[in-house]
Amino acid sequence: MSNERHLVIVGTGVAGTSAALSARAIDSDIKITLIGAEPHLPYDRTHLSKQQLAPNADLTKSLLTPGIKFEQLNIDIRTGVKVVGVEPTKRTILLESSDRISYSSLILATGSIVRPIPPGWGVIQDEHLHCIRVAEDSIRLRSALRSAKKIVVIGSGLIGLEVAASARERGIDVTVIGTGSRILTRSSDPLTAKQIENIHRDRGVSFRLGVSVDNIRRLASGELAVSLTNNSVLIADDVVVGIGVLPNDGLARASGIGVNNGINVNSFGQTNYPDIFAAGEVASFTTSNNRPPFRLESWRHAQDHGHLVGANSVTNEMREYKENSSFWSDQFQHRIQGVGVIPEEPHEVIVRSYDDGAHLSIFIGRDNRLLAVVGVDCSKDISAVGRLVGHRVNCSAMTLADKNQPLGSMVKSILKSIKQEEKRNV
Amino acid sequence: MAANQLVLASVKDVPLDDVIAVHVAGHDLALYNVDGKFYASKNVCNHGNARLSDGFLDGDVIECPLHGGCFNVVSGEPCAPPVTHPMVTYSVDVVDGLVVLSAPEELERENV
Repeated sequence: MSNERHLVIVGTGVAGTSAALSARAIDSDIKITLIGAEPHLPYDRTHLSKQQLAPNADLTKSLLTPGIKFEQLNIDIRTGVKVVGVEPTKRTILLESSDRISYSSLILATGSIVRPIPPGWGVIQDEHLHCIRVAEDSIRLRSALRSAKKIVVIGSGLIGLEVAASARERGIDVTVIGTGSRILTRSSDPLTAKQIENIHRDRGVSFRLGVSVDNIRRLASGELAVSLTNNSVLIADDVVVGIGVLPNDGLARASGIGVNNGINVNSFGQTNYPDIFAAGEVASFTTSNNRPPFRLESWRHAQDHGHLVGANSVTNEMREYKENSSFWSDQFQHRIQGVGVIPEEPHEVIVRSYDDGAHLSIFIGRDNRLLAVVGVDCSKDISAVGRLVGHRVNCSAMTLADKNQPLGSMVKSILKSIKQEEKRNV
Repeated sequence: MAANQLVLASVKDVPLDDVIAVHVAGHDLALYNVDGKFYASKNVCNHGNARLSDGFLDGDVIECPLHGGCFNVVSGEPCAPPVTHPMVTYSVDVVDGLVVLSAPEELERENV
């Protein structure tokens, strides 16, 4: 075993890439190897359900770090390389090629895999049945959308709706199926969800909500027939499935690294082996209050967590992860954004609406703590209120809801008083 | 005022410690008021599809509303990932209560 300091990062998504850059920024000497199973340079996965579905899309326009030359940063990036094992006691990883690489620190940033299509649905291997996770999925769907006249989207979350909007903008007939009584059950409150649903309906997207898929079969015509649990059948040229993701934690599990709905990490990003870290969507956090471990699925979390864990992996002065999760989604000409996680426990929702239809919903917990904010076409307000997530706010609901009182200055004065209070308590 | 100066806004239209969007000569600019001093930059973040005027101005640092990248609005230098390149900035002056571009030719500056 060599004594060389060597940071090995598995995964070239935003978490892994961000970890490599942040480690390099604070340690110019350590050897860094960034390994990705995909054959591409790191690209922005959030583009796959949006920009990459446009007729003239080009993957080189969706690179994660345009203008960054990994070799100039002395980061050895190895794409199209699959890691098949980790040997924590030997501090080596095993590649599919049977080569071994020694590390002094290892970061697993293996992200997510799409939730498999339930076997009960039938068929399931069909060139007109799509999921979206990697660049090749988008290329295949983009090509299908060139000739499709009607598609069915299974899943009414952000990915499903982004695909629906992209297809509808091409004039394709789109029906979205959702098992919930409303769309966006995880990421949005009922008001925000209704507004997004209306935006889609106004543009001609149809919805079948509160139903599930019973089976999918291929017709002699080549079309796909999607049978629903309410006995109706939808016929489509192509079917897109967006029913969520699972943590890609098989490598860790097989290697004896602690796993429970993702790779278990502490607040520094460390697994049960102190020199093995996990970052981004695959990392599973345990909170103190007896809740099941949770993961965060968003670009911003992957970047922020990757950045922190990358730094922690090369320093003795590790920092704890404290960032709030945030997300955005562009559909038609509208932007949905949110910061924080909509709580399951009882809370109050304060809504601020503007005359142009934009609005934001602010979630306040029982102890006056601001827990989350979600809204549509309110980027500036959400950027401001997002700063308050996790803090107690003592301004009245009426003030927050009053569209005539600028939120930015309100937030700044609240942040100021929070800082003063923190000083007093030190 | 020199004939070739372009007016961005009236001083009173840019709230203290805030940022607004300004359209001038076909360009989309962000105009910042940091403690009573004015600064201008290209409005679209050089990292992605977001406008800095929708971001949060914290002292002299503007945070992009989508990816969280930060720039110092005085120097244009990046100060938080994912942004890695300086943003394009423009020199401004205050003349008779108006914020004007001191060097309109700077509008031709492109992102690096």
